[in-house]
Amino acid sequence: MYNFIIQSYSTYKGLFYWLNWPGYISGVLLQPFATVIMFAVLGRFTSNPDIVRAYALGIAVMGMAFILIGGITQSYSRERGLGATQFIFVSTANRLVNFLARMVLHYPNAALSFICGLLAAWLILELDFGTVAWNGFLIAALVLIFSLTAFGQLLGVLSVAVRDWIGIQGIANGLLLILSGAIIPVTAFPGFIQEFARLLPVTNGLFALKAAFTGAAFSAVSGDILREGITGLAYLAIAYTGFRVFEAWVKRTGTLERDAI
Amino acid sequence: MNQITIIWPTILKEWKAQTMDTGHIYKYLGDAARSAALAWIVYQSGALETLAFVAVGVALISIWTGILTLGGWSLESELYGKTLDFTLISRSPISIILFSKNLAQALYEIPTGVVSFVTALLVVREIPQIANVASLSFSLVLALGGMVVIGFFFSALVVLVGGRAGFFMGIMPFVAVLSGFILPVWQLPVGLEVLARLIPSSWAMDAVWVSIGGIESWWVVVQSWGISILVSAGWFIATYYICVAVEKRIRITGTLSAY
Repeated sequence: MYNFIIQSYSTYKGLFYWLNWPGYISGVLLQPFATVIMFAVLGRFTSNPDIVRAYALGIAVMGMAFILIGGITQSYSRERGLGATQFIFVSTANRLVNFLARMVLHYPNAALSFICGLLAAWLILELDFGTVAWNGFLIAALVLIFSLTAFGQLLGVLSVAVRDWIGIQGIANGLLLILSGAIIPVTAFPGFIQEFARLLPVTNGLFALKAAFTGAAFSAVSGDILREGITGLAYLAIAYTGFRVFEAWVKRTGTLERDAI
Repeated sequence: MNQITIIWPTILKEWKAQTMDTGHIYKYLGDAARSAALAWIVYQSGALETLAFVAVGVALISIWTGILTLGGWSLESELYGKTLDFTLISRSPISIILFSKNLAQALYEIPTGVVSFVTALLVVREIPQIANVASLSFSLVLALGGMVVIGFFFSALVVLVGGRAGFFMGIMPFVAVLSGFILPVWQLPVGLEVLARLIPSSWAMDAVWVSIGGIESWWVVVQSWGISILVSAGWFIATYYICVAVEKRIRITGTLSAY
C-alpha cells in the first residue's frame, strides 16, 4: 500500500504537466466554465437557449473527459520522453500497482471539473436541479469518472507507444463528443454505430446521468450504471494488457529510446 | 526589409519542424468532431440563417485552437529544449521570431479550418448562401491576422512566465467567444461586448456577418476592416514592446529557463 501511495504521488507530481497554478486553474476550473459559455452563446445566437440547456450535462461530462484523458496521456508520454520509463522497466516494482497508481490522483480532477461544469450550467443556463435523484446521479457520475479514467489509461499506453499524446487525446475527445450522446443523441446514428457507441465510455453513464437528473429512480438507471462500470473494467484490463505488451516489446527489440515503436 | 529576412526563414523553419504525421490527421478529426457538434446545435435549432456564419466560425475556432495549443506547445518545447536560447543570443529580435512563429502556425492551420468548415456543412446538409465572397475573403484574412497578433501576445506571455503548461486551456474558448467566432459580438451582453471590442477579430467578424447576409452599406464594412487593422496594429505594437522589455530583462538576469 505504501508503494502504491508513493507511486501515485510521484507519477502525478512528476509527470502531470498542468500541475501548476495557472495551468490547473485554467484547465480544471476555467475550461468547463468557458465551454459552457461557448455553447450558451451559440444557443443565444440560434435564438434557442433552451436547446443548449439540454446539452449541459453532456458538456460538463466532456469537461471531465478533457482533463482526464489529457492528464493521463501526457503523463505516460512525458515519462517516456524524460527517459524515466526505463527505470520502471528494470525495477522489480509490481507492474499492476504501478499501472493503477498512474490514474488515482487524476480522478479528483475530473470530479472537480464536473462540479465546475454543472456550476457554470446552473449560473449561466439556469439549469434546474430541483428534480435530481441524487443517489443515482452521484453514483452514475462516479462510475462515469472511473470508466473515463480507465479509457484514459488505455489511451496513455497507446500514446506512449506512438509518442503523441496531443493527437491521441484530440481524437479521443472528438470521438466521445460525437458518439457518446453528449451533444448528438446516440439514436441519431445508424444501428451499428449505436452499438459501437455503447462500447465507449460515457455513453451508458450519460444515459443514467440524464435519467437521474430528471428524477428517475436508482433502479431505473442501475442497468446503465452497471454497464458503464463493466465498460470501465474492460478498458482497464485491455490497458493493462497493452502496458505489459509494450514493456515486453521494447525489452525484446531494445526500442525504448528510439522511435521504432 | 531586415524583418522580412527574419520572418521568412522562421516560417520555413516552422514548416520543417512540422511533419505530416498521424498527429495532424488526429487533429483534423478532433476539430471536425467539435465542428460537427456545434453545427448539430444549429441544425437542431432550425436557425439555418446563421449556418454560414457558424460554419465559418467553427473553421476559425479550429485555426485559433491550433495557433494557441500547437504554437504554445512549440514554444514550450523550444524553452524546454533550450533552442530558444540560441534565438536569444542571435541578433534577431525575439519579438519578430515569436510573431513569425504564430504567423506560420496560422498558415499551417488553414487546412484544419477547411476540414472543420466542410464538416459543419455535411452535418447540416445545406450549402450556405454568401452575399459577397470577395468581401468575406478579405474579412477572413483580417480575422486571421487578428488571431496571429493575439497569439503573438500569448506567446510573449509564455516566455514571460517560463512556459507554464496548460495555461491556455481555459482561455481558448473565452477568446473564441470574444473574437466573435460563435456569434457576432454585438449580440453579447454589454460587459462582454466591451471586452470583445478589444479583440481585433471581433471587428473583422462583423464584416464577415455583413458579407454573408448582404452588404447594405460599404461604409460599415470598411469601418470594420479599418478598426480591425488598427486594433491589430495596437496589439502588435504593445506586444512588440513587451517582448523588447522581456528580452532585455532576460539578457540581464539570465532567467530564460529559470523563471
